[in-house]
Amino acid sequence: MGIDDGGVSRALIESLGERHLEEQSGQWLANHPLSPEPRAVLLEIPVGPTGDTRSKARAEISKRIRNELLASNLADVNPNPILRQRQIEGTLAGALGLLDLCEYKEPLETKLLLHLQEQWRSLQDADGSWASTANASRIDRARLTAGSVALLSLIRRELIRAQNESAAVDIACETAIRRGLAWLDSCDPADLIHLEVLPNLRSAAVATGRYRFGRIDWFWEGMAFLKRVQNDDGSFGKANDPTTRLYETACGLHFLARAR
Amino acid sequence: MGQCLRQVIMPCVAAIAVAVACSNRFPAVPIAAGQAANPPAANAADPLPPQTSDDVSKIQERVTARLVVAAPTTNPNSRTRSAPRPLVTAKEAEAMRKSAIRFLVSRRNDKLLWESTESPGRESDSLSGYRWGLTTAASAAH
Repeated sequence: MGIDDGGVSRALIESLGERHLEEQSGQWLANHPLSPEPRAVLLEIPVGPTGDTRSKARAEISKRIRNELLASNLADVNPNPILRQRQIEGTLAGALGLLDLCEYKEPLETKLLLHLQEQWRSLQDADGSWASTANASRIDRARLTAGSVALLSLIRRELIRAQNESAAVDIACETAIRRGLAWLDSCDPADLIHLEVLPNLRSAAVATGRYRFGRIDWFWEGMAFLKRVQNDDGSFGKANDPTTRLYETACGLHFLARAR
Repeated sequence: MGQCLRQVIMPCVAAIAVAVACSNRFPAVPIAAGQAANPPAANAADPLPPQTSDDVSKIQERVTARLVVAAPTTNPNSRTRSAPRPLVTAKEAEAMRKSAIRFLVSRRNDKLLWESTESPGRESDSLSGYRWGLTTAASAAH
């Protein structure tokens, strides 16, 4: 199965779904117990099944994630740093995933949006950045801060869309976004133009309308960076570990997906 | 950190991409070769997000249009004072994208992809990243 001149063959994508998910037919939802992290549940959205099956599954998962996010309490800090990291990263991914879905489908409840907004704002560090661990690297911090700015901006958009004007002009939220952007503006190019950071940076740029972070034109510099780090076999990055190589290639592809 | 990367971060970003792939959020916006993007949006001097739904839509349209790589050009409206824009043409970007997809496709039968590294019954982290890449590509392809 190849890639035709018109782009990626949809059949290719569906073959993956057939192999991994359609084998389980309609039973896969029943066979997959709810994971502790919403991101894990969202991952199980089937790629292969189409039409009603796909819509039904997505609606079901969306409902589960909404309930999980509404019940989440990030102020309840897990003493295990790994679990804490999962808690934060999972909440961010689940919330961003839902906001992506809700843009043109069903809107999120105002109650959930306000809950997420409050939770996420409270995680912001004094310097305006976000991190999932106390000793996060600069790149990890940039990745999470970009994702957080995207999240708060998208929540704000949804609140405006719901015409909940009192919530939309939440000064504290505006300030959090402003401080997050200021932190990103202060970053070195090497912190932002990085395979791990680029996908979230793009999300933040799309959500806020930014063309640049500081002096960094994220799009053009990102493109030039990808051009530099692409290998002859099409992968991105220099990682020897095949798992990391796959991950970094997916990051690059994510950034490139609309660049055509 | 590498372990954390695989176990935590990759599935997280994968989740977002799966959602986008399912939603087909941004339709491809045609843009003439050489056509400059719209004037820059708000930046450091005015970092706040847009104020109304209409503003949000307009900005999203502008950003989406900008994500379509035009032929190399100099935008006179650009506030960028650093180095000249890198020359990445639409053709090159398309070649890079296809090449990356080919790499992911070429790995689809790797045992590594289908072996669970966390717990029985769970897909591997590699598969998460692989699926993320493909679903992202799928969302761009239609």
